[in-house]
Amino acid sequence: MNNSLLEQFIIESKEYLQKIGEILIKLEEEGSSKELLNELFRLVHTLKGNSGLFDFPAMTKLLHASEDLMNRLRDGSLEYTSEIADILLEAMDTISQMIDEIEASGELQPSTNETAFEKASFIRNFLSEGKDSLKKVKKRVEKIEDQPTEVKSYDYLVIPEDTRMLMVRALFEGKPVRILQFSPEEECFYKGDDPFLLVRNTPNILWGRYYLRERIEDIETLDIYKCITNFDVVAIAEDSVLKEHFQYVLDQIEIIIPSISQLIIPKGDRNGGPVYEDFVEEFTEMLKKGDKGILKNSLRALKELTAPNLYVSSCLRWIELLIDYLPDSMVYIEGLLRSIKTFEPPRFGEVQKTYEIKPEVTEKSMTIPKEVLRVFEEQKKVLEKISSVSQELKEGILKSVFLSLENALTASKNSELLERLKQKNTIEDIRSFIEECLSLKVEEYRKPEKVEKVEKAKKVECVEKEEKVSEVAEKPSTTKVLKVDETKIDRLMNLIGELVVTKNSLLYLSRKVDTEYELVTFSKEMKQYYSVINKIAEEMQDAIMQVRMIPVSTVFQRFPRLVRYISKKLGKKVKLIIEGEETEADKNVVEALADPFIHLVRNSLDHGIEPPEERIAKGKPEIGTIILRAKQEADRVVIQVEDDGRGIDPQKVKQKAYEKGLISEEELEKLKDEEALNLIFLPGFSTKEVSSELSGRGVGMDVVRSMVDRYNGTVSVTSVKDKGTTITLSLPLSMAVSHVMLVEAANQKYGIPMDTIIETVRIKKEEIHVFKGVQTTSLRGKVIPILFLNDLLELGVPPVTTEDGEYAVLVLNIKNEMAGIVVDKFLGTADIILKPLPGFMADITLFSGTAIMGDGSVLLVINPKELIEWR
Amino acid sequence: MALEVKKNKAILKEIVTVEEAEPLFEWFLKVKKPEVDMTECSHIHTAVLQLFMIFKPKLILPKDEGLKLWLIGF
Repeated sequence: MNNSLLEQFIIESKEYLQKIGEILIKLEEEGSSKELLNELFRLVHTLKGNSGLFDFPAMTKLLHASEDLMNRLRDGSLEYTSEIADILLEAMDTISQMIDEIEASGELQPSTNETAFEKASFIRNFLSEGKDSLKKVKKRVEKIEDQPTEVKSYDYLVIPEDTRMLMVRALFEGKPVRILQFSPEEECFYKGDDPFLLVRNTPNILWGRYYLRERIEDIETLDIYKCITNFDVVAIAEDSVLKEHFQYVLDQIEIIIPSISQLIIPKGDRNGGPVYEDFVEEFTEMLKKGDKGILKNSLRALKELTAPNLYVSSCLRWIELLIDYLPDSMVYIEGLLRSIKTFEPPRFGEVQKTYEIKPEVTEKSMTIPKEVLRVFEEQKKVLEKISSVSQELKEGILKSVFLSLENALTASKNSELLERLKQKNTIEDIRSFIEECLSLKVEEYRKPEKVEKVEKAKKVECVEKEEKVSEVAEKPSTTKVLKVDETKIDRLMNLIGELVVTKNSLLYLSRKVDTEYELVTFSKEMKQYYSVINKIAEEMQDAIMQVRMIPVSTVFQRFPRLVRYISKKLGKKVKLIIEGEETEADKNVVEALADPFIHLVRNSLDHGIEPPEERIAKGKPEIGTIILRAKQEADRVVIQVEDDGRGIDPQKVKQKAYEKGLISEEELEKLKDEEALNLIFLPGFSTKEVSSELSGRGVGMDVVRSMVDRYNGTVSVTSVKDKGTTITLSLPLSMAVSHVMLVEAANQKYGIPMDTIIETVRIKKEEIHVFKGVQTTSLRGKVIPILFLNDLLELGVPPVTTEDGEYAVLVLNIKNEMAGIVVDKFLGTADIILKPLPGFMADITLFSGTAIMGDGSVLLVINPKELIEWR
Repeated sequence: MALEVKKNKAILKEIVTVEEAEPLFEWFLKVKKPEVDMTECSHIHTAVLQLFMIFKPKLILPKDEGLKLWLIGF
């Protein structure tokens, strides 16, 4: 694959998919949070946008469908359930598979394409079912009831009167009227977008406007490539059509469905003009007769007498329009007529007497609780949209509207209205019934000052949003993050490794120049250059090492879910605390940590933490605590798993180890408690039977030990009975370059890792004593065993002493025990790149690997721990 | 070129892209009473539209009815 854009896409997509997966799980755990849903949407949206750059229509389609589903979750019209989680996780799995295929071959398998298309249409079906089925509609309506404050407020006055009139006409004719607010992202120009062009091409556009969403403080420093323009558009189009048109900026648009009453806003000068009271009376009388021609003529006569800029004139224009839609428009005409008299903004439905309302109802001046009115309002909106759906769905929706109204009235114990509702069975009947009920008590809702408040609040919110956006946009400029393929870093790492090794050959060469050719000055100069190169190489190595550092959080991340899952399964209550997850270590080290860590956490949960009742009996808090801790100590990363469970009983461990034949009777007597705890890491100790009898640790502890050993780490355990256990892993921060001591035995060179060496000493033959068949020596008052490398490696050559009859001894620290290893010669130290033994030799654990030396020779690096056990 | 700049007058023609925003911006900064002739213009990029909102130049409206409507208001 040589398309760098595609490569970048693959790298990013993998990252996005991982994050998406995490959020989906988090959502399931923590319940839906707006923040998470927004983040989720943003990720999928970006992924979709990126995929659109390439010719993978199936992928884009599936992502688009997923995005729509997430959008529904985000706007609250769908609830996040495990069913939806499954759908989304599956969709993301498919995308993941597609990315893998693209990475492998640059194209998609036909079968994967098919799966993606299938999944996309499945989601689409799910969405449309969710939208239309009776159950879902009801759910949605209930949702809106729950959150009455989320009613959108839009300043309809920005739309000119003639446009609003066209909108009202369209609404009466059952056409879909939408207001679309488009707030393009700031950096859209860089993506080659032209929001104005997109807006201009909006299907069935009726009206539009643009405005700056930010104040320009200083014109000189204006960033002309930052988009700060917002657009409002009115279109006669279904949501789906608009969403299709704005499909790539769905997160930047908001669609508002206006209602007739919101659009009829008379405007103008409230002073002057003739007296209208008589007209209102007359007109009201005429309305009852319902002759449209007469009504219009009467209106025109008055309109001619009134200056067009007057408030009344505006009311008259609206009434003239509304006459065309009698009798549906009756409520609005009456509202406007009242407004002409009072000059108050019209309130539609504030009717004293209407031609439909039965007198007895109004006489009692019945009131309906605000909440119920809200239900009615919502149902009215539902009915307004009903004209655009198919006949079968209409019935379903009608049924749901009916049930909602019935429930609301039952709840408010309004038996009279309930009875009347039961007699209604057509859409028209129910619609007028709703209007009628809404008119009963309107003082309680839609007060003008309330609307203003909402608007103000919204404005503040917008500002905050913008600030946030700019914050996000600014971040990359301060710390630029470069995404690089992992293999490239690995290559760099290998190269610097080679360089480190090669530079060592300079040292050999300088020695050779000195000894063989006796060019002392030249040799000296070479050494000087070597030291410079050495320094640069070390710095470079350090820099590359930094690049490979990743936080341990990458491993810790998976634990909340694991702990929750296991503790639930075991019926235990556990709180997980994570500390120092930002601690960084080499990628390989962090990755190597993952498996042993799972073992440890699982053990803590299974054997450490007691069931709640046992904890209560012991006087401990019911909820157990597991702490995952990471910190850096010098050049090592230390990771701990601490629990406040039942701890490990050293006596039982000793006993068991003795029974298993792992320790002698003598050791059984002598072993200190701390030492006894370490027995759990012995291979033979780890059997299921033991661990269950002990109700403590044991399962897989030797696995943990061997993993840690492999990466040159250590593991230790401390435990107090009934207080808890702490297991500490310590691993090198990095393991790319090893520092070794070079020694010679039987004319062969070997490397021994520096971190196991305590010191090098020379010991006279006579100083070696044999106790109980073990050769020992006393080193500064301490008795240490002496072993011969030649014997250990079975080289078949006797050890060599120096001219003074002294042995060269390496004092090693192996599993907290000191031991002296006799070698023939010390040859100094070297930095090497340790390569594991290949193929069938990988089983030889005695050597941790090989390295190529500066002179081209191969060095075997000994694993001291194995060396001791080997004997 | 979709942009032609004279002393107090800029002439925009056909489709004005984002590339024209910068020279236009520089020109707006220099000129006191800018006038923009859009007679032959059919579309301006959002970046240019933004400049119009900020500098409010005197516009000679385009023949293109669609664009004209947007510029004078619907």
